[in-house]
Amino acid sequence: MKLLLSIVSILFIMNSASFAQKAATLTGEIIELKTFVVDKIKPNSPAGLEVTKEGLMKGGTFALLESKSNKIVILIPSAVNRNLYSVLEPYLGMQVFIKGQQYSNGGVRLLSVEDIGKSLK
Amino acid sequence: MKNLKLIFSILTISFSLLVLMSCSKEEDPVSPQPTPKSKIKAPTNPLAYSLNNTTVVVKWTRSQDENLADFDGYLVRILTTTGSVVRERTVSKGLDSLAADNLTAGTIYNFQIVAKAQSNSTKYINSDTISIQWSPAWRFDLEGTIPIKIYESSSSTGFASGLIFYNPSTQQPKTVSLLSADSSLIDVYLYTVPNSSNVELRSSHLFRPSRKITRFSTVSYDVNTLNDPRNAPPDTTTYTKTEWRIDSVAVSTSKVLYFKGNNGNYGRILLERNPANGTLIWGSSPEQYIQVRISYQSVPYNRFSKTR
Repeated sequence: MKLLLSIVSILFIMNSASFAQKAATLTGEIIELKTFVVDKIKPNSPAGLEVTKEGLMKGGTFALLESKSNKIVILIPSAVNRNLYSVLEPYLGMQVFIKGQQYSNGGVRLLSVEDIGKSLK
Repeated sequence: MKNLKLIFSILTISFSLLVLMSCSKEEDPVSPQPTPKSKIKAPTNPLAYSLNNTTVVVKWTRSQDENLADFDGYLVRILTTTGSVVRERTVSKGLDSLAADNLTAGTIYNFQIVAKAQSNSTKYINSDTISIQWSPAWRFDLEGTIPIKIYESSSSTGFASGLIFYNPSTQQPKTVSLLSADSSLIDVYLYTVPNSSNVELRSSHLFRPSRKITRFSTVSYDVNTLNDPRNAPPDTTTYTKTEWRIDSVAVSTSKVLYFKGNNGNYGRILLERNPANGTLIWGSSPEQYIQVRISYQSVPYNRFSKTR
């Protein structure tokens, strides 16, 4: 967990000046980074949901597993949604779309959560 | 002078006799008479709303006699429309509402409210009764765990533009795509008004004539909650609209619309105000949406308080 966060932080700091920013709407499933990457668990079953929530309660990181690319996008708060847990927790385990500002550089992508809804795709 | 004295004496004796006669045992004015008791002033303005499928909240304006020492409180009697008492509840003085729970969804109840005098009061008796009819209805603040969001029809099929008020299999509302397998169950959808940021909440039959027909009442209220007590729902003759325009203009409150569904099921929709832009429309084009809460009467032809 700490390793992952460190890598993300280092990548962010190294390239902070050159992150491209654009408005984006991404579709996929919300995951907790460590639970998904290390434990390979998604919140799409009652047990998976429990483990994911536990990870998030312990300070885990919200991310989106994008449907189109099957790549991970780290979710960050926005001015309208400062408390990510309260906004994203009801949508765990379902296909969602998230609208916001996407920051990307190399393989690292971050998306601010400005709006979220159930995706029918 | 002598004559005058004589007349005065006769008058005095006559008056004395009269006084003595009037003080007979039979008509003793000093003995206490039972004074008739007064009715306590009744509460006024009975109002109600359905909180959920088993609870109705009844409200009233408190009696003007609450300051009397003999004022006891309020009695709320819950009766069926045939007059049998379901139960009685007492409410302390100073309070003006009661959440009557454990009721049956769709059943019409008569709520009678009485201001009570203390049982040992020598001066007062209970007030006249005021009454109101109402019925519990389902309340849906969420679709499962998430807010109920209906996206405008210009959004792609990935966004839910159709709303099923009440999906009997889940006993919940459901938002779906206009072209989904459930599309025949859609009650209303959100139409994008061309060349504007405005939207319309429309009856599903306006999308495809074969789909369900929903009618809106011309009556609406600018309030922030479905917990909005009224003395009666809108009259059945007011349900004449099949679309409701929602302009992209700032408003100070949310709005409650009244609808009558395809099978005669009445209900209410709260269009929630978006605090970010002050309008009833959320998100950005072409994926604007409305966020709603629903009160739904699952028994047909019961507009909460009156039969058809």
